[in-house]
Amino acid sequence: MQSANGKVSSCPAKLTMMRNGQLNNQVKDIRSVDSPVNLPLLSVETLTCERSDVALFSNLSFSLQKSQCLRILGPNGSGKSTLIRAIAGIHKPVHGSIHWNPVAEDSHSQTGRPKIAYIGHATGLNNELTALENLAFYASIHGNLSGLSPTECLEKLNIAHCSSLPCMQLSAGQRQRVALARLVLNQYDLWLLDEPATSLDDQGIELLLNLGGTCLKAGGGVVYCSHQPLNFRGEHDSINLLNFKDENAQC
Amino acid sequence: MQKRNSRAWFHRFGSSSYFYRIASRWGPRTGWGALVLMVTGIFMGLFVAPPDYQMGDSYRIIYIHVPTAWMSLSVYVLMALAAAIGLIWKMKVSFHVSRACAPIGAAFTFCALITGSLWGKPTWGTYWIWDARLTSELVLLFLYMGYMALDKAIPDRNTASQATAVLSLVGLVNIPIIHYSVEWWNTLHQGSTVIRMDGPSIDAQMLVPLLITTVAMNLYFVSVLFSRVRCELLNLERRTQWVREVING
Amino acid sequence: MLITVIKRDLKCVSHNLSSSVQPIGFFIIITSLFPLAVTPDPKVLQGIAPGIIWISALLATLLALDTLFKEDFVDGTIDQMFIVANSLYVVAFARIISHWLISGLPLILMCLIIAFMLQIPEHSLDALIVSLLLGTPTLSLVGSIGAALTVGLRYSGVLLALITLPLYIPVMIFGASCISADLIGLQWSGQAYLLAAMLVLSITLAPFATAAALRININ
Repeated sequence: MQSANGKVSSCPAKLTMMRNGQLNNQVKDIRSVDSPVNLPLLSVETLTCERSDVALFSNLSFSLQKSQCLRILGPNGSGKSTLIRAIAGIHKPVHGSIHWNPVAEDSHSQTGRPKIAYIGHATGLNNELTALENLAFYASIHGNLSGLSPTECLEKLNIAHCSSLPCMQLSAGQRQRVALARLVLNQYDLWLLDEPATSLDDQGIELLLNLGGTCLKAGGGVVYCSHQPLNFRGEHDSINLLNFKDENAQC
Repeated sequence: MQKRNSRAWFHRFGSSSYFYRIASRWGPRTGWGALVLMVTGIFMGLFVAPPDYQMGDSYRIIYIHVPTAWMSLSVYVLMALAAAIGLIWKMKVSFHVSRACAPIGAAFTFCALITGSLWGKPTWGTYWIWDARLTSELVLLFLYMGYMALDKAIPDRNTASQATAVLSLVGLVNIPIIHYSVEWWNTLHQGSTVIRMDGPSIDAQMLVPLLITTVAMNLYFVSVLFSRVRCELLNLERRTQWVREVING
Repeated sequence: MLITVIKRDLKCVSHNLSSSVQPIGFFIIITSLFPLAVTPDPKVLQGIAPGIIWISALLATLLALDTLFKEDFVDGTIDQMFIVANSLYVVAFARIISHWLISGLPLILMCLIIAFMLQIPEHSLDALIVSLLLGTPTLSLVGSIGAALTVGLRYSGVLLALITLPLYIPVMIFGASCISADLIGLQWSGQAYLLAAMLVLSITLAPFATAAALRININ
């Protein structure tokens, strides 16, 4: 069904938006709110990313409004993770640009960068350290503006009982919860979630959705890729990377 | 205006197809030039140049030894410079040039070591002496080997070329340090005789063949470099239009 | 951030003490192999002791280098630190400092014992300590470049040695000759100054190269 709204990559700067707003009733046209007073949180323009000299997607353009949630779709190897890493600034795109308009002026850090929370395939947790020590480490490098202590963050994810265990002794799902606890350490402008529901149980997913809803309500944005749709409470869009694939490129 | 023109020239070199055309035009020419000059230089070195009053005929190995030793260093410098250009201006061709330099430079280093130790037998009475220049040449060979090993070990081509570029720059900073720290021991090797402030101390009849073989080595290097880069370009860009055009004639 | 990362590293060490003292154990074993392999003759031992100590220090440093960035790379911590700092310079510098604190510093302390075993006289201990104090940080700094270049590879131990050891040669030459000079009663300040110069140069340049290499590998 994604191929039905196929726009080939040769059409620049056109994004095919699909609505699957099961949870929001009011359908807003994104372009109409794109006025100087209401700048998009994130705008990506003609982005082209490569991996091992093979173009994953090209001329990808989209923008993300405040309080908006965006799901990235695409088959395995289509570059979902790479796109998320490119937005996070870890992956250097071949072409294109990514612009930011942070939620509040004070959230502009000194370097002019927005506050990003990134949950990747790797959890970012040191195996030797306990869950609490890991989180405390992130609290001290990210700054801790949400007012929640690392222990309280763990409680939010219902994983506080494991706080004194070294991370290598935790199960995959528990580790993922500890990683997700990072999301509530701070008030982030944008959540970038790469398969956040991996090895989470139903209760874990429900907790994640609730926290995501709170982030969206506060004006933040969520960009995620996931095999199953995650119904964050907020405006919901999706893009399919298959529509931006260069036909000449072969895997 | 002038500046834009010079930039355009620079960026044209960055284009794979342009570089390929240049390389296929000049690769064979320099190769033939190298062959002709090498034969002439070796002939003059073996039969025209007079024997040395101290070392007799054994010195004649310098017509191979000295050019390869010079090349081994200058190829490394070229390799690092190409890598720096690649890192700064993001030119992929430049990375290819840098990577193609490594095996050639290693071969030159190896030849310089072998000829040096062969020369050492009649001169010093032993094949190997821990003399400063031989030792730094040996370390240079290690640096080349490390470079090539790193290049082979990283599967992703982009990552490999950038990582090796960093390594070659680190090596470039280190080469003078290594050289002088090795030099620091008392060396048995004779002092430099060609490059001197008061002019060369070597007889002109001996010098001319040396200069000819040096030019020949340089041309040979350019020729081999070009054919290596051509292979690399064809392999890595096999999906692009220009490679299809080249292959289809 | 620098202090935070160093604190975290030291905390990791305290959780896993046994693996952190391995390089030091390695250092002691290597140095005690030489008398067994060469000769226990005190005269000969004293002559080759500077070389033994420096080669063993080189290898022990190398042993600890392999894991310098690898854990953080594999578990994604480097990505997270990069997102916050937008540069890996501080991260690289912090890891280098912790590497020296974990491998270089205990090695210098161990040397006081090894020195007696290798028949180094007491009056030469100052040359030994100074050369190691100036030299081992350089080993950590230069080695971090190699560690960062090979961070993405699963088995990188031998490759790391291959690309790092040639770069260690100048430090080894001057470090060993610093001690040798003192043993035969010569001034050793020249060598110490050269070691200091190399330390300053590597402090200035190596973290940049390390950060660049890490950046290339996380891309």
